[in-house]
Amino acid sequence: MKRASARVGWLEARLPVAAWYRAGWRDAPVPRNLTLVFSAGMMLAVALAVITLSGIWLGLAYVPAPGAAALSIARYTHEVPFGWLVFDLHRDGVTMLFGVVYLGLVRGMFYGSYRGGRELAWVLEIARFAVFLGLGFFGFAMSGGPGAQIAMVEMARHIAAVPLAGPVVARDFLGGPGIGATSIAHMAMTHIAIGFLVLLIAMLGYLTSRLAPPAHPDGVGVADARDLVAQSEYAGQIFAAFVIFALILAVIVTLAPGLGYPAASATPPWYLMIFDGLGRAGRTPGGGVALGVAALALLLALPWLDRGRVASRRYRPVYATFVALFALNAALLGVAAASGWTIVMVAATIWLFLHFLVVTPLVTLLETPRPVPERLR
Amino acid sequence: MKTVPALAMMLAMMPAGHAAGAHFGFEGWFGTYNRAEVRAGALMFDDDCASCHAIGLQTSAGAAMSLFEAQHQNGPALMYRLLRGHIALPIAHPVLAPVPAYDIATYLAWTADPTRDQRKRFGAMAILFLIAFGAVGYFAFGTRTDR
Repeated sequence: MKRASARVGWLEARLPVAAWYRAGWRDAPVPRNLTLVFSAGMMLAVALAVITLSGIWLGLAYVPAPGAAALSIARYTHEVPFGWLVFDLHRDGVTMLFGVVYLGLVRGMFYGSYRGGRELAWVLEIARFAVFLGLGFFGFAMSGGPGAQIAMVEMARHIAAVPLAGPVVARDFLGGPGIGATSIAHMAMTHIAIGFLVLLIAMLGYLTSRLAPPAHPDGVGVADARDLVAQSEYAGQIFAAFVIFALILAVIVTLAPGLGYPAASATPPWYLMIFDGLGRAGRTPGGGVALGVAALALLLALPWLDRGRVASRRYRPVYATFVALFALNAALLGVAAASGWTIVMVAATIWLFLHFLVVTPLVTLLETPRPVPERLR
Repeated sequence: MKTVPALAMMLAMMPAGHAAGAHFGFEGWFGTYNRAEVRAGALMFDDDCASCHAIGLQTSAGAAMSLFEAQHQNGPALMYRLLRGHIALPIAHPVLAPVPAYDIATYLAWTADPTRDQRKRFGAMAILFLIAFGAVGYFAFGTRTDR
């Protein structure tokens, strides 16, 4: 014991980072059947690092004032060497982040990763998702173009429709009754503050997920210790996920910079379109807020809406089909909102709520699950 | 000044596409700006357009043209059709011959995105590096001996 402690260095004896790395990362026991999509969480960390660093550099050039915001970023991308790269790593990095987030949500719904002791991890995942949506909106608003200003006024109307606190919050949101000298600064400061807050939420979510029974394609938890391996066994898979992630980002930055961000219009970026659709299907500002919040609340309540005995799609194919339908329907809602297909938008909204309120409780309750094997497949 | 929002609104409503058939090489994956065309467009812009249209990034003046093509879908093709008179403008505007219209549209594409060529060059290098990196990693992880 004494020999072992004598071998560790001065810093390691006082701050055992290497030991933490070995116990909490390299040798951490994980299920032996994880597939590539289970690397989504790590790619989310990569995306967050890219966005945070590029965001700090963008912030150094950004002037938070109406009329000056868009100009300051245009100057930065046109006149500062590799300013375009920092700008595109930020906006296309956000596209990668939301790609990974949506992938993670669908994966969680498919494999029932929200159940069996993982409820808090799921709640934090949804909270993180909601904060990402807010961050996306504030980022879009602080860009300061004409479309962003329309979106700010629209959002202020939505906030004002919330009972009791709404009107006061809406004034604070814009920094006055309408767009004024400090409105853009309000957007920018909120974006930055929440941006750092979400790192904390993400870390908390990671810890909670690690402490909960592990999620894997076969369900939740591992009954047999022989089905656990050290995380270092997945080094190759994590590397593959990273290279795929980096390649997609590089291709977007090179060939389609700003993919999914409509040029100079009031249409928000692609990752907000599902909630834009819900907001507009609500017809009035108050109705729109109610639908958006309700959709997030129902997603959060999934661990309690799911009445089935097993978690993974493998052992309940009927519900899995409905989850696939749900994902397609959510994508359709976003496309319909972007294209202005009102009837499709309303129909997709109705199906989204039916899925949570009727399909999920009923199908999970009524479907007879296939037998789950003792060992992992 | 009042015509500018009206014009912007009209342009936003128009269907995108290369209806007029103008093809811009720099829009392709491997295409680059033709320096001669950009220079010719710049000279013509200074001589014939600059008296009414400012060049520069400042958009609060309303008439700055530098970012126009970045702010519209298929900006170069749209600018070409505008200059050729294929689109009716709310105010009287001279109609240009194909070559000047093409060169000015090219010049305004450059002002809208002057780093496009650099982006493609460095992007291609990054993509090639990642493919090589992935191949090396695939080999390295495939032949690991420490387990």
